[in-house]
Amino acid sequence: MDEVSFIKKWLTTTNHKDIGILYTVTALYFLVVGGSLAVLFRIQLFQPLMDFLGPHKFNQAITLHGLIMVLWAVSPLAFGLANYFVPLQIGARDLAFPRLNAMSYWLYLFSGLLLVSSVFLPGGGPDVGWTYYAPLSTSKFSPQPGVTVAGLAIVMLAASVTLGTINFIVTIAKMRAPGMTWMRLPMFTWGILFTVALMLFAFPPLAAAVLLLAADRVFGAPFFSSPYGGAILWGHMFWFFGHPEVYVVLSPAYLLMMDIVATFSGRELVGKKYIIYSIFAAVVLSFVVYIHHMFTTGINPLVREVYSVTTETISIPFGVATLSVIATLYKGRIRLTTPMLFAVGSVFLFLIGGSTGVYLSSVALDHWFRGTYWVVGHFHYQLVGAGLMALFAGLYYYYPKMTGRMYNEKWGKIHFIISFISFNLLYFPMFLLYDMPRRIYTYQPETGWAPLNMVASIGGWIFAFSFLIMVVNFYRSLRIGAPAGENPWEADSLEWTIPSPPPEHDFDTIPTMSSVSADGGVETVEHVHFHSLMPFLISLSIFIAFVGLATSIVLTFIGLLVLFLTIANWYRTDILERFSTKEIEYEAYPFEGVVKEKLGVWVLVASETLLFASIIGAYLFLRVRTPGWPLSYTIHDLRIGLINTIILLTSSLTIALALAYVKHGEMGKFKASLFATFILGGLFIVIKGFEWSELASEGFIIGENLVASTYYIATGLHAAHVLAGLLGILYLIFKAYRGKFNSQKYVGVESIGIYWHFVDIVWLFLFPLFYLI
Amino acid sequence: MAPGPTADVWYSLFNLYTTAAVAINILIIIIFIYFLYKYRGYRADSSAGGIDAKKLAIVFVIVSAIIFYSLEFYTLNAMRFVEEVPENPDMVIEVDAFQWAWKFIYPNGTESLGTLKVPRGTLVLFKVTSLDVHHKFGIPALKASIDAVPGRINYLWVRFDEPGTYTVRCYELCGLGHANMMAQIIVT
Ligand code: HEM
Ligand SMILES: [Cu+2]
Ligand SMILES: [Cu+2]
Repeated sequence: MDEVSFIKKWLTTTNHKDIGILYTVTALYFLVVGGSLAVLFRIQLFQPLMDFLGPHKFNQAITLHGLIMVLWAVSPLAFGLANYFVPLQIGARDLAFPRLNAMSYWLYLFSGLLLVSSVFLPGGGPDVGWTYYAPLSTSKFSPQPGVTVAGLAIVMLAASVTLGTINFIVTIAKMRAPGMTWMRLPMFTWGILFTVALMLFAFPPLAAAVLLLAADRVFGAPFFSSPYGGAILWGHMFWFFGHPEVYVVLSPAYLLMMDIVATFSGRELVGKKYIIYSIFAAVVLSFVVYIHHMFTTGINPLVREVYSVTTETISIPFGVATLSVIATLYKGRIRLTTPMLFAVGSVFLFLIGGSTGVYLSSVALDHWFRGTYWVVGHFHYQLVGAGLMALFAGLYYYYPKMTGRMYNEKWGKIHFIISFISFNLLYFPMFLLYDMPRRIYTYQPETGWAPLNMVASIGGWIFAFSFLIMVVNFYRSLRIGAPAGENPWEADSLEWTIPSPPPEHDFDTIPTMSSVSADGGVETVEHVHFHSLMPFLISLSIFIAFVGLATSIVLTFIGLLVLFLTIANWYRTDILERFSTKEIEYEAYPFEGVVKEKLGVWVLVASETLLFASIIGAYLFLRVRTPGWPLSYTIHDLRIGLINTIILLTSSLTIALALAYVKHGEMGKFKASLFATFILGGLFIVIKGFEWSELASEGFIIGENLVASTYYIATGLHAAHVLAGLLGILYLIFKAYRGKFNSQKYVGVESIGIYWHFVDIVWLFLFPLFYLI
Repeated sequence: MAPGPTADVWYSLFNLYTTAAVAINILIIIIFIYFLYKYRGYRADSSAGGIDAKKLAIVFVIVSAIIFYSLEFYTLNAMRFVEEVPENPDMVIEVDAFQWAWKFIYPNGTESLGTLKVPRGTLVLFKVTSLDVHHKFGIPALKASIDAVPGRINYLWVRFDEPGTYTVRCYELCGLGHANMMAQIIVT
């Protein structure tokens, strides 16, 4: 590595360990922000009729607290560890796409800053609860721009998450060291794999919901303000995301806890295989339980009965997993170090959180519990007790590996004892407060809720303070901690076979796995880490553009300009192939034949499919409920639709031809086909624009009514994807003219081709829905 | 003395769940703590755990399925009882939720803001809706509650068996006045 200054190093790094540290530190920062908000609103709730925050500030505090903790703190903390350790655990030297990984991080950071900065806008930040229930969150009831800006922050985060998802799936599928079979993967890596799979399906619906809400707020497109099911539609879209999201927060922590318990019990996890099956079952089930958040909205009783049963069912696999953990202790050699204490502590809290969840899965009980402090108690036991505490275990566990030094064990244990006790003081009273509505900023003395709230507040302040013990411990131990050595815990996964902290390139030779432990190693080509400022610049420019939307449009233009220049520059460096690496043979069952880039595009396509499915689903949901929805062919000119359909289908053909020609080395025809595809795609956009302006001149504008809004949003989003596809094709054309493709080298054509076909297929769904019926 | 049948049903279900939860958790936690204590620093051959994981998993799945689904059975019974809309209630009251108060409309069309009077023992059917955002109509003493959703009507029946003054509260965040969105039901 050449001499780069400190700041430049951190702004440009693409090394997974650096990004892991950036994620971890940033997540801890957001944890402090979210925690401080909690300290404030626990003051407001300390006594009846307190006059400290008032309703407006209180509502902002709880909303930001929820959003930050769920989306910007706990889950990213897990991804900090994942960035650092998943490559090490599978025996790879980095993630599959290092620059994309940097991009995930910078999008995450700037989206968080965007969220937090929304409080400085006139009218303050979002104050509608992290669940953003409509129609409260529509502009009619919450006109302040902070609600929109926070929504944009969520969209930006969803982009970060999507990139991260692609990266981790491809990495774990394709980059395992030889012999690292699926069943040998440590539980933490499994946890991350489950998590990214959940994210892949959960975040696109969220992005779709927030985009529709933004259209509602900005253009007056009446999606969620529609009296015909708008409020319920939000519930469906949000909770389809929201329920899996809570497992996104839990899974990495919960499975990391299992690795830790196994290590400190001195034995292998009992029934690892069955645990993996169980969690897999829970992951699948988690998409068919979300209605349990809507039990009281008055939806169909049969639906509720079914979802009540599926929700009770999901407790079974979690029970199996938890029981296996306890069985692992049996006849072990248990060492109660700090990480182990936090790990078993989190199991204990998970039992309480899970049991109270079973109450909630009962429709009859939930009739009452919904909207009360019982729910607050339940999910904090899960997210903070089971989730965050296990991640603290992970921080203590991995601190020696990351820094090369031991933390102070005594203070670690003190931290555990104080945080465990104060945690229960904070959250257990909430179960007893099952008559108190959640999210109220004040209550009357006659309610009798005061003593329990006092206990909770005091517990909360101690819990917040106890976090500082860990920070100080870690900070001091950086200098004075005893050297840790390679494997201070006698653990047996790969990350413990290399020095602490690991060298820049991680492994001298890529390890091969024969039995359980690593042996030998294959010689590999030298690994280089790149530096690139582009992920930072792109994220920064999007941030500026979004801030501009809420403040001054000039900023938006500056942001977009920087974005454009950065992307152009990225193209240039990429076409010059400044970043080429040699492929190494890895374990890749069952993905042997598939190249990394192609697998990445497939994952992207899966996520995009869900995005469009959500939009189309929302459209159908509203359409069947809205009386007097006119038939499509009375509004839209069928001929234009047909012409555009034919154009897109032809372009699918030309891109397929391009691939065939490049495979056969017929370069002239290859370029011509690419060109034809580009022209056809461009034509589609032009015709679309023509059609739009025609419709608009007839007064059919986006905010007019639902019929217009759904049409413009669905076809507009599709057009944006066509434009993205065109950028990809343009890139292929440039590369083709520089002679970068030949009959051996055409992954780029294949990958972008897949994406292009996908965009065309989406149109085949939109066309009948908007032009025929 | 329970104030009404909805509360009765709710509390007996709650007690059932609590009995099961406490019993199971105490059992698990005792085993848990016992293992932690017993095998602390234990130095025997650690691979001799001798646990048949498959058997354990199967037994657990069966046992827990029996427990969970029997609980679910009681839940579904309770749910049907509570949710069945009575065919001839003594009194039908329309409830309009709005930011931030409750309006009651009596069968004869009289409107009342924030207070409702009903004779004790009447079977009351509430037809709940919202004029603006999502709210949740809840009567803590009766453990009776239903969402007030704009654009739809939800039904909730209750019977007040005890005279007194009952509080109604909103249980879904609905804006600045959420905490103070209350009403009274006076049962004579
Ligand atoms: C043992 C399995 C579980 C069951 C049966 C269960 C059941 C439920 C039910 C029925 C609700 C809806 C309550 C309501 O709003 O009325 C709920 C809410 C919630 N649960 Fe769970 N849960 C379980 C595990 C978890 C886990 C593992 C997590 C996260 C780590 C979690 C996090 C949450 C959150 C965040 C909410 C509330 C969201 C909100 O309204 O703001 N739950 N749970
Ligand atoms: Cu859920
Ligand atoms: Cu309310």
